Amino acid sequence: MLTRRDFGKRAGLLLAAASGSSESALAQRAIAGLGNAPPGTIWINANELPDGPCAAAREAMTQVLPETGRYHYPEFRDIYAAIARSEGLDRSQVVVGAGSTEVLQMAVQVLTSPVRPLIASEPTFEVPFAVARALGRPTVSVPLTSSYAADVKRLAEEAAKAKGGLIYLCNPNNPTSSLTPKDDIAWLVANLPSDAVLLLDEAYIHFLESPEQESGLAWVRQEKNVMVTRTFSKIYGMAGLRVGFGCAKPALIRPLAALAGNVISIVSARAALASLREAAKLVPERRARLTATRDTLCRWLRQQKRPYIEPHANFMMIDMGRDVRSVIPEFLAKGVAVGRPFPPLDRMLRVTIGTEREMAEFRRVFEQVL
Amino acid sequence: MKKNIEDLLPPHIRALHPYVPGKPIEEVERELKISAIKLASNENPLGPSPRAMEAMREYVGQVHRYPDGQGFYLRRKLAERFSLHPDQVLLGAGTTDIIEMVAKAFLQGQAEGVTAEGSFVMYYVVAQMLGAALHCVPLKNYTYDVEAIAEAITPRIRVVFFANPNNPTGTYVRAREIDRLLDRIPDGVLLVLDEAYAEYVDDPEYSHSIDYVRQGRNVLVLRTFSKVHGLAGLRVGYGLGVSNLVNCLNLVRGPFNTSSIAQVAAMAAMDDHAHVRESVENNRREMRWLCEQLDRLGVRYVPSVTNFLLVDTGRDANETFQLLLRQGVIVRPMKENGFPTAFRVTIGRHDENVRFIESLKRAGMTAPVPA
Repeated sequence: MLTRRDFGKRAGLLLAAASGSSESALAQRAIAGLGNAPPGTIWINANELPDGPCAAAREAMTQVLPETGRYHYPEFRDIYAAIARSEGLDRSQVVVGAGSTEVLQMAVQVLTSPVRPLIASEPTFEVPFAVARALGRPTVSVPLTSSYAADVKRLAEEAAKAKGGLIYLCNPNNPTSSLTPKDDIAWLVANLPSDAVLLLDEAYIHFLESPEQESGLAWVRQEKNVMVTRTFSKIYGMAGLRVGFGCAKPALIRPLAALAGNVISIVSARAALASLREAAKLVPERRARLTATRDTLCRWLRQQKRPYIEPHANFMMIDMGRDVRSVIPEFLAKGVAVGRPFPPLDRMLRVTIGTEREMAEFRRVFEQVL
Repeated sequence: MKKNIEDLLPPHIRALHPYVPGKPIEEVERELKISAIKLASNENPLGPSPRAMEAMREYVGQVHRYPDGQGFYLRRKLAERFSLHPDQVLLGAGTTDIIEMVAKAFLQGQAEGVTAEGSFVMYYVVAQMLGAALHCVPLKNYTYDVEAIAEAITPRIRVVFFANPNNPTGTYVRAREIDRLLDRIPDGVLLVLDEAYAEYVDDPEYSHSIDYVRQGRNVLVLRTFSKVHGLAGLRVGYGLGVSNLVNCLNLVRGPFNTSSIAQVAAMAAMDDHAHVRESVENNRREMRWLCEQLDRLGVRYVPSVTNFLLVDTGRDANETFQLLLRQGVIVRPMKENGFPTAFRVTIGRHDENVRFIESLKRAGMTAPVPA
């Protein structure tokens, strides 16, 4: 029988096991400490898009407010269908989650096991690793190549060694903003061990010049063992609303759909739908704005002879020449909240591309910090 | 031989069926070409808190920021309301999300749970999803049978799910009975007291569940913004328990499980005392009126302290559902929930309740059913 002491012990075990998903939030809070940020601080720390939701999404949110007293479960059929349609997929190939984070969590829960590891690059988005560890699933991390791409050969080797498993590949990669070439991913798909699944996180894919060409959705349509996740948190500017989705063949989606407990809020759902309707215009416009701001920063960094990783998303990594653990608080003290450390890239500072004005302020503070 | 990816799934996951929702109000209206009313989901007929709506309207432009994953401000406000510490407050995307967290954290492996038959369906759904054993003891006179629950606690039991008041019967047990149950529950067993409808209960002896939390007992109290605050569509609920327990559950919580706009709405709704008062008053007045009408018609129902009624017509629940649906009144048949001749109806606004009673009459449900 479980005694109160065991109850506490069990809590301790769980705490030890899950050194991750809440860790990032805790670290962020500790570093960017709510209390330490001076008034008027610029937040370029969490890869949010300052543009916010588009006008149509704001309108849709405002209009649905009187209906927030109702459950809207039935409407979710239409929402799933609309999202599927937008990606040229069938309803049975899509699962919606509270952000793509929830979809990644479910994928790790269902597609890894005590003998099927999670295999991923290091560093990459940490949630899949954290979930696997919390569930007691084996994990294998593979360093990025010298060009900061995923090492697809080694990822495949590890999956073959384990006779299966889940390969997680974030492209463009967070936190490096680097791109794994499409040909490399195509090779990985072609050489995937039969019991392995490739989980392609495309949270930042819209920031590429030709996202559709770079995307792995074509393999989903071909019913390969590939799952692609997407989010409304990035180019659509609605991280606070928690909407993301996963795409894969029905056999992979079905068990996730059964697990998807968190129905998203109706305000979020309506905002997402309105954004999708605007996507053809919205995505290229926002990308152009973002790219111009990012190019200005890159040019300036080159003038400063400051190395950086070639960026492909709405954030980039800059080589500070010293451990960023001492750099981050200096930025914060001057009113600029930047990304947390991402070991083993200890000298690399992750900076989100904000507005022109915010980035001008970042450059001004950068000179002082250096 | 090459294995299919489905073969790698545990059997309890393979056996799951995605939730198939009922007919949306718009679809009913389209098909029947009449206006419909929905009294099926225990929503607040007065709609969302106006102050919450105002707060959301102002917040629309800020949703590009990630939510505070810890829900710092909402947790602090809830803690102040209940004289607890913020570490004793857990946020969920509705209480369903928290029920899932409890099951994920405590019902793995050999651990088992216990609850009542004819209670909140999510207990059963979540247990099946996780392949966890959940023992169900019968209700007694439509009410949780405290004695039978206590008897069912074997050494394998880790969690007791206790809906108080119970959904779908609308019955409750008083605090002193929960006291007695707690005294009989061994130390290492968690009592989940699901009080989603607490705000509607008009009885000073109903519950002192928050005291259990203050006393450091293994109790998790569940409350929601979906009912009296009218925010069902936003998915936000909360749990109150000792910090040790809340820490455990935080480990299995999705890092951003509640949206920022839901947190903002919930905080505003907490201050909307007028909306809460009107919602409770409407419910009380209309509940009285509905019961009078049903008495007059000789239709049986279970007396309820909530915002819904379990009505037993003595006829097949699905048929009654169809008869009412054809008249544009959507209720929830309870056949699949162990009440083959009953449906659940939510207390609506007066005009909705009048329409419900008229539809019931026209459906020929007025004859007293032999006992």
